Amino acid sequence: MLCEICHSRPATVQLTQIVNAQKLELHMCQRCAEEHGFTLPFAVLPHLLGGLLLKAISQTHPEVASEALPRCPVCGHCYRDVERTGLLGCAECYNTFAEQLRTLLRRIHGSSKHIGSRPPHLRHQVVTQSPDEIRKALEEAIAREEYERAAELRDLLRDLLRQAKGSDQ
Amino acid sequence: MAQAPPAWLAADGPHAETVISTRIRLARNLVGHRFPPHARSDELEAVLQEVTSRRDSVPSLRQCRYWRVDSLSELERRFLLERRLLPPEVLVRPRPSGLLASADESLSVIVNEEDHLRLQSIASGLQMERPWETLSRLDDQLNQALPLAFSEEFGYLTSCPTNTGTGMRVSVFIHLPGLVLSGTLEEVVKRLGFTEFTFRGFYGEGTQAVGHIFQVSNQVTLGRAEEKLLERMGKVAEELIGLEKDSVGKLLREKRLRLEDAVERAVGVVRHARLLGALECVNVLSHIRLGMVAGLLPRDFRLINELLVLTQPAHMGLRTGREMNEEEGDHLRAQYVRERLRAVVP
Repeated sequence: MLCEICHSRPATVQLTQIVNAQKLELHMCQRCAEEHGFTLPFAVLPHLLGGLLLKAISQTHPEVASEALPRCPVCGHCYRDVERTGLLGCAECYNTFAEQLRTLLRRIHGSSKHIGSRPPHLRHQVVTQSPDEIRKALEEAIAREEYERAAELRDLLRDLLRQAKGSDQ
Repeated sequence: MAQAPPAWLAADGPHAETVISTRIRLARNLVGHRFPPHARSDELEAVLQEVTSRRDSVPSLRQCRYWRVDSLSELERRFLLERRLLPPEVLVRPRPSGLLASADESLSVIVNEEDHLRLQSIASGLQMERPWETLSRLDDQLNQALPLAFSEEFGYLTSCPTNTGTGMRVSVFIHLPGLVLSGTLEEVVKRLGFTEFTFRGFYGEGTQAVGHIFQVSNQVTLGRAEEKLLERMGKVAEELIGLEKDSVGKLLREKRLRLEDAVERAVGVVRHARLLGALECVNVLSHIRLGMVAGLLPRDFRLINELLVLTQPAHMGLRTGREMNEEEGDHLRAQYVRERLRAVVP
């Protein structure tokens, strides 16, 4: 087997990554491994997600021809560029390609709605996630057999409904 | 900085016997600029300028040292990579980018990597709270000083959709020689499943894991609160720690001779090797560390952690301050390890 980086020397070492019980491997020659810092005991190893991610992206919108999609008004990216590189061009791309990204993000993270921390100046605003949105995410989690996630969402929904009930009184 | 080891190697954190360090990083971007992989050099310069000009209004960064990464020599960049202050990508093609790091290296920020800002905090052993507090504080300060790209729906917006939302990746560097030697690692990893987490190792010839050091990190960054992600990572790491301890105990009871043989072979190399390559050195140090864990050698986890970094090629190169060929480097490494480990391996 040839090194997957230089494609010339034989591969003698490998980087192994296990994600969702799936094993991904990158086979390299020693020289490329050293040049890319893989042999260091504490180097932060890159995620071998490139291939998987691109596969997920290409499945996002198979029915829509990429050419028909709009270009980002800020960076000029079209969704085909995202498909090709697995990267977005700028923050505005998230608006331009919001619809495609929702599907993609759900595929990667099991969710497309941020729940974590927010910038200090926005913290006084109420997070706008409706019970319906959570209910939908809960159903999706159950369908994917992500029971721990489903339990979290169930608790979130219960708290939200309890709050809503409290404010009605 | 050249030879003072970073604080995260001190082995003074919880579970430091098994976990070398916990690293948390946050990915952030500025509004109004293309993400670095798609930006031109002049745009990257503008981002660097914007960040450095606002530095004084970010209290956490005032004490930090600043490096312009693309003006450093290759050896210096490699040195910072060995200390985990820079990612491997900068070795290949440095673009206009910067690095800010505190004196003990527990806090650092890279400007213009895959995202405009990558905030990093590293602590010794398995501990989430302290590095998370450090990063949250810095994140709040940066949010007040600079316009960061955030959406109510998607959270913090990042170059790669695998980081969107919290932008948080927590990585635990864990030493698992017992599980490797007893041949049970693969089964353990399979059983834990690692849904939402990734488990990574680097394997050399003969499928030997380099240094028996593995990296566990979260896979999901969106749809979960940071505290929840950290809590779950803590649980996964604690489970691995328990299994590793059991397997070392079992090796001591049932395969003591094999365990002693592995450790004593490493002792032999430390005592007698005249040429010690960087990769072999990591494996030897890992076996000495296992000897300490198993109670076969006097314990000094701080020393062994430090040597894992200080014997790396760029560290050796900068210590001598001159160009060395491979043989000279290996000779110097063998000498250095022998001298530093004298109290452990007389």
